[in-house]
Amino acid sequence: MKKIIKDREVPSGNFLQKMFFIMRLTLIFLITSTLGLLASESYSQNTRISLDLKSVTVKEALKTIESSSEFFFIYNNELIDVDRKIDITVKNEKISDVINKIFDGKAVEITVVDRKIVLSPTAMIAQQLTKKIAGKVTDPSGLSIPGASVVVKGTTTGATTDNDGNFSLVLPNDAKILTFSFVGMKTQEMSIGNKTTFNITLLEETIGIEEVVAIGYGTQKKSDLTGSVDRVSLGEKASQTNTNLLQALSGVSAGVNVQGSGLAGTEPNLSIRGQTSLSASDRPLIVRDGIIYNGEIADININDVESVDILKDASSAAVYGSRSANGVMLITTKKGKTDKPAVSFNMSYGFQDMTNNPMKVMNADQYAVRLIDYYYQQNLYAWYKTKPTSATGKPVRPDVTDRNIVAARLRSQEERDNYLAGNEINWVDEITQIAPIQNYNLSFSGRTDRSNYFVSASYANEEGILKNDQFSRITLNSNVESKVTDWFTLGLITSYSYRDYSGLEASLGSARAASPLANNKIGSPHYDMFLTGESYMPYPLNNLYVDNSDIRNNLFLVGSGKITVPWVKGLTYELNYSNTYSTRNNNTFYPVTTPEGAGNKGQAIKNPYEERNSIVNNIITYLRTIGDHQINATLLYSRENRHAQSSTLNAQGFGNPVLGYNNMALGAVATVASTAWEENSLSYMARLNYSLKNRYLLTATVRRDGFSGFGANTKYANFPSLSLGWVASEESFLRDMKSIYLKLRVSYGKNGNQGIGRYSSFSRMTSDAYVYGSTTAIAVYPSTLGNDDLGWETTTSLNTGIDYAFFNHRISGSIDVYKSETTDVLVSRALPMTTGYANVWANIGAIDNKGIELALKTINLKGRLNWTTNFIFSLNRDKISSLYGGANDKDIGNSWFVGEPISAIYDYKMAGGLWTEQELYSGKTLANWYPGQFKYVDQNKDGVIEANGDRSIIGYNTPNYRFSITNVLSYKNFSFSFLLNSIQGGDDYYLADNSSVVNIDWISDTSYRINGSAVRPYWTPDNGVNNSTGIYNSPAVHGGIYESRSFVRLQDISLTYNFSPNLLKTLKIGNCQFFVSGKNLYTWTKWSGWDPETGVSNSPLMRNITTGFRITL
Amino acid sequence: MINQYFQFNNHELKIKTMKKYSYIFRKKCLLFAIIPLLMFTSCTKDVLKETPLDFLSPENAYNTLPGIQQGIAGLHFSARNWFYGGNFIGTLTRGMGTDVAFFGEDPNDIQFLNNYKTYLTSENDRIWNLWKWNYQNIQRANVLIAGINTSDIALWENEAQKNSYLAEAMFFRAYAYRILVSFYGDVPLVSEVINSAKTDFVRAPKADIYKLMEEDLTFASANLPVPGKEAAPGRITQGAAWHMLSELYLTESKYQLAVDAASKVIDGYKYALMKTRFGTRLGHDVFGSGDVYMDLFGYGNQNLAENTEAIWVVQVEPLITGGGVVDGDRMFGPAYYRMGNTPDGFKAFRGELVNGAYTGYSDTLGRPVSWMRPTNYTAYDIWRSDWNNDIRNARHNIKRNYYYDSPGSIYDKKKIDFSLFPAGSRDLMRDTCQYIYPFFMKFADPLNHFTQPERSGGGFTHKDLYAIRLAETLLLRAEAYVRLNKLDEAAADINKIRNRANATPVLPAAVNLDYICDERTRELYGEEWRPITLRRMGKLIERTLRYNNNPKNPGANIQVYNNLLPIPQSQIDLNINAVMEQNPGY
Repeated sequence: MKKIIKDREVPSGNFLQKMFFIMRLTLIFLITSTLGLLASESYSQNTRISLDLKSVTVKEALKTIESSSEFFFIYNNELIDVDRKIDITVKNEKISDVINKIFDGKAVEITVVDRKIVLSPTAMIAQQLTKKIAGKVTDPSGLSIPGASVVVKGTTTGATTDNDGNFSLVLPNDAKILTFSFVGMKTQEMSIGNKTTFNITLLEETIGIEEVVAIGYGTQKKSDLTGSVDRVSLGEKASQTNTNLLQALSGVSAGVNVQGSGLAGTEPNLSIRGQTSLSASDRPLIVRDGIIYNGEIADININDVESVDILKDASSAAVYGSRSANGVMLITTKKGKTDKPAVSFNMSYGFQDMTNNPMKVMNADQYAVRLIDYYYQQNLYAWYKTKPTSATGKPVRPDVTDRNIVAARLRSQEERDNYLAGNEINWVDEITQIAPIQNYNLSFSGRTDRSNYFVSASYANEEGILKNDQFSRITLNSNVESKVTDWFTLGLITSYSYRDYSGLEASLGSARAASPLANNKIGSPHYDMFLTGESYMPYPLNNLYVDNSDIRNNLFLVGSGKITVPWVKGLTYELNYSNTYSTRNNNTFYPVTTPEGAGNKGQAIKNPYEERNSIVNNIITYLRTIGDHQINATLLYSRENRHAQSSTLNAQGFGNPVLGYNNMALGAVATVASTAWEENSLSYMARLNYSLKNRYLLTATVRRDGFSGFGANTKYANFPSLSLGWVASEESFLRDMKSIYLKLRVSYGKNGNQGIGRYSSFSRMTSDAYVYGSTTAIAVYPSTLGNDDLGWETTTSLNTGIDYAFFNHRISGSIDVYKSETTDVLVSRALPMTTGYANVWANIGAIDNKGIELALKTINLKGRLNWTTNFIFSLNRDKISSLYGGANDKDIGNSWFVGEPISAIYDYKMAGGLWTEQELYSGKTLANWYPGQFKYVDQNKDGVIEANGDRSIIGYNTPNYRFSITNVLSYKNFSFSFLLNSIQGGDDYYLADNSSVVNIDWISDTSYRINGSAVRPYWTPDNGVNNSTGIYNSPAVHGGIYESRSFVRLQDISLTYNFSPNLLKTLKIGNCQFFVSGKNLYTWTKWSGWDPETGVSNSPLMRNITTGFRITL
Repeated sequence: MINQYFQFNNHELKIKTMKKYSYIFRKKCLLFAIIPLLMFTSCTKDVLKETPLDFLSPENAYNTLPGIQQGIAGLHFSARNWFYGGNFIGTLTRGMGTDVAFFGEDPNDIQFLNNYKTYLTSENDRIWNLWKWNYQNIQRANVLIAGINTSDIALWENEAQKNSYLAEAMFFRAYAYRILVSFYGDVPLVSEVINSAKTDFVRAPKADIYKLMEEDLTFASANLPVPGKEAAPGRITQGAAWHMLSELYLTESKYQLAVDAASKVIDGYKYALMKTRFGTRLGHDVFGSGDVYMDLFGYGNQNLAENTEAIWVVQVEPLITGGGVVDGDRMFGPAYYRMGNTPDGFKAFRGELVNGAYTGYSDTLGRPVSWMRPTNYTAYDIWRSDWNNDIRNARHNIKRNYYYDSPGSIYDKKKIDFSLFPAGSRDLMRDTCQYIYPFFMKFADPLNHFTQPERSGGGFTHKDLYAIRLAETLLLRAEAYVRLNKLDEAAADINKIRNRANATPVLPAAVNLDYICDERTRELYGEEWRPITLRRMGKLIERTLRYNNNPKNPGANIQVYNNLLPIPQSQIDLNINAVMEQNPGY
């Protein structure tokens, strides 16, 4: 049984053991997964090829070599004559010999560097070379880039970097500018001047039009895209301490909405664009390495992620048919990139606390006096009800300066004694902590001629700001791909994650309620489970005495085989099979000293859960360029099966609790329950990408999906889409303006949503237990109403977009405008209780969405000081366009109204301020309203505030718009970046009811039993408060207290220092960086109390400051 | 299988690819033969057929005898959990805010029915729960009735067996309507299974509801087992059905039928008032004395075969699956442990020694929280005529004196007397409404707490509860006799109870509806559903105004329109295809 840690100490030995454990595992993992790869031959000049060509140009011959090997040629066609016709027949000859044959006798110098073959006229070599330069090329994370090209601009003189990213080059006399380039990186130019050392960091190509992005069941050049697809760059997030990938996505892409969560290791909420359904899930589909991923993002080590692509519009998402209405997120993990094996390690360590909107609760004095006021205001209201016309006869408030009078009102002797003795506890302080957060990540990767591998291990440990809120994770990942033969490629991804959420966190909700005057028994074994004996006030630290173990394992495997059909040019067939197996074991023992164990002499609960998903994808791709025509066709057949089972084992009545949940047979009363489910999907998809002259683009997709979760007649549906693109800058009238890039896109298509899951069409029974005498009797009764006609929800949408770049990409970005309509909306519709059921799933109604998204990237400064700015903006409006068929249907019970947003708030409208005594005396108050109560607008002007007639739509829960600004500045070895993220309300958008935080409870029972918030003081007749009610408050009706949650947040900030290459070279280290970063450091908002993003939740968002380093060998 | 797949794609490709496949198969390796097998195994439409793995549906739950028995247990389960245990609704049904009780902890609190005017709003969620729970049980009963009616005839030994199950389900349907129609007046009549969304309910006249109840209860009284032949303790018998029928006829002003139905219970079976001591309390008298009335409420005594007074006993059992709890002392007792110090400044109640610490709670009194403070009428006035002889007022049945448990204080073991405190140092209202007041011990289970030892049971007890007891049947018949102006017969029935209680017999001339109300209070306080009794007699408003001495809200501020509860607002809001009228005044 786990020991209860009272004084938290850092168990250093424990930590080292864990690290050793991880390292051992890693080693085993590395050895097993890379054996066999290392043996393969280096891609070199010894590679042999065969050719049989008649009457072809040199250019064509070189192309043929390129297409049948991994070699590619670099040459300047003004200096090398490649239009010359030749005949060549070679059989299994060395590449160098073959090239010599092609250029037989010509003055061409051939330099082979790995896969690159640089052809230069021999004359150039003979040119007078005067100056020798050297340097190193690295990527933003500091990894050296082997094989990068360094070329003197306008010449063929150049070099490629070696395995450590180093190069040296002898320059011709007139050399002025160097060009640095590497696949997937932005090409950089640098003037030579007098410098002899050039250390260059190449940035990843993020908005580059040549970038290849994942589009689902394949990839496509960004320049050929016709849909709205965004690639999120994680490079800039490298210095941030994010334990969850989604944290890194907040505010980085227009229309991608991430809402943080305040507990350690919990998954943030993700949505894309607007809400398209009333009740079905709005979670986007997650695809990991080409496989639909039903697991949690929390299982993925962010350091393993190469890129994240977001499919936002109908056309691009349509390849995922029935699951795509909420958008699709494609996660691609890393592969080995460099010939030299690279070992990289990074770590960060830091601390987190609550964001800057802390909760204030009443202190001892306020808490004690509130009871004086509670009872005083009872008398006051009784007097108000006599309709006085002046203050004559008004009850007098007891003298709150007399501590004996105040003490006498307290509810328990314990509180009286502590009040008089001046003892006080701030429970919020007692249960919160400044919490450590740490991450360690080790990876090993590389590439040989035919294989690439990436193996990594990570360990993360995070504590929350609530005591005992703990999270740790170990991940192991291996990604291996091998080209077995010219036509057959095998890949295997193995990923394992171990997450430990053990321990229940202290309760902030209970701390807010707890009496500051309770006896201080914190840490004592004889603590009071209910403070002052009051069941409304559980000891906020009760959970620390609960023994809980919550372990989640996830194993994700993808095996894939890809055949390039040799005799049909451009045709490939890929089969991939994935299996995800995840388990959760949540075991808890509640001792008799905790509320959950007190009533039953100790309670043990075990809750094992396991789930298995398997997917088979068969993909045929046909890729062909014929003249000006480019065709990329994809056919898919896919099948998915998911199965899960879980049990709940419960035992109570532990005479001897010492073995806890590990031996439940020691409990006198045992109950069990179990669940299981299965679901199946079948899918067919066909997609055609066609491009003409690189400027007229077309994508057409159709997907047919079947899902077991729908009724027998509605299992299948078709989801077609079509999109068109026009690269205007390729047209002759714009072509001359080379600094401009302009593409127009339009797409139209249908997407589905099956997000209500399995078995939703069934009526269900629930079982419980009754007892006859002392014999248990199983009780079974109907609990859920079914719907035989339940079917798909379909979203049809239109997206128009522009991608643009001006001034040589100094300014670039995109604009998207979209409109969508969802029909047959899946709704968990509330029913009148007369039916015997609270709600039923139904396809009713329709919802419209429209919105605009802007992305703008500017390179403000370039040179010694680099400064780039990213700005994104998104706005979405939704509207219920049909409900139950009527033109003006309204469903007050669900707060749904035709013509209004889904998130409409239907409530009493505040008229501003509180009723005053003056208004009472002069008879101006409405009937049954008294001073200290909110004024509400009498909508129907009948002099009474009541449910029928005085409620109206007073605002919306959803944001008005969102924006974020990222700035990255780099100077010499320093790089600084910060991200401001904002969600804005305005015009009554983004409102939430904050009354549980800012006002005394409407229920007097709780307002006199428990402690209250001190964010806004409560009204008394004399204190002039005009925004919070009195403490004895029994209004005839009441609405919520709505505040705007608008905020601007300094979400990410980081400062990075790159060690100078010279020093690193001496130390024989590839790369090393130090960084300091902060998250959620400051939030500007007018929202009261907790963080605006997490709202009234008792797990407010955390902020952190961390420091760390990255090192690569 | 390959063909099937490629037909979907396109013809041309199919031929090409077929060629490719066969070529590869011949030339290259066996691998490609395996792949298609993997791809298309069980590629049939059946893949998408959905079969529930872990839940039953209305179609298959009730088509076996054990299934039907589970359905019956479902009705018992919800009736117990909703109306007898662990929630605040119990205070509403047992008479808070009527002539018998008010909320003791804070007589001005708005969580409980202290003030009709402010409490009874259509948005009150307790009002909504009372509505919701009854309609849920009606649907549950309807599904079960439909299941039995459509069951395979081969399930049953004979028609009588089948009818006995139908009868029990119908009993619970009538039980739900009994509550609805009394509290809300005209309510929607649902007598068939609801299979799809329905939002056009209208309120049916009370007469229609009564008609269904009559049919259900008449069927039940004919087809349920006779008392003593029920399958298990707590199951419904003919006696219970006749009792409910008698109450229904009284409500309908069919007084002779009410007499006849009550007589079926009183004379038709082996029921009899208990007159001699029995059961578990013998030899275990907590306060040094005891009697048969105390034994009626002893732990475990309600189910005993020798207890001839029990007609329907709601089942509770500690530490067993399905056992449940009831609020017991939590609901009815005073929060003595909050009173503070002795006059000389020591903690008034040291409590029990548990795990090395004193709890502050007495294991005799448990941990009550003074929800139901009996009105002075209930606590004092009705007892005055027979204060010393009525056993129901004996000190072991109503605890009136409390004693300090405060070693160190000179007041230790002395009777608590607030007049000994310095003048002005105590709040009289809290002292007498929350901390110390007469505690009807039939709700407590002294020295018998099974859970939460550190809180002396936490307010919960595990005693079985009488839902119907013969004493109430006698008082129903007496009420019918009063209505028929047969006062001799009425007095005779009442005196059966008074004689057992050793109280002075009442003279026929003194018997009237108010007298019956008083006797019901003496005999049945906390057992009967007081608001139903008072509405039936038309005395809710009158007697609440007269006897409810809530110190902050005299008469609970009851208004004439408060005779019925408001229809829950969500019911009105969600019933979008028909207008559901609100009760007048709301």
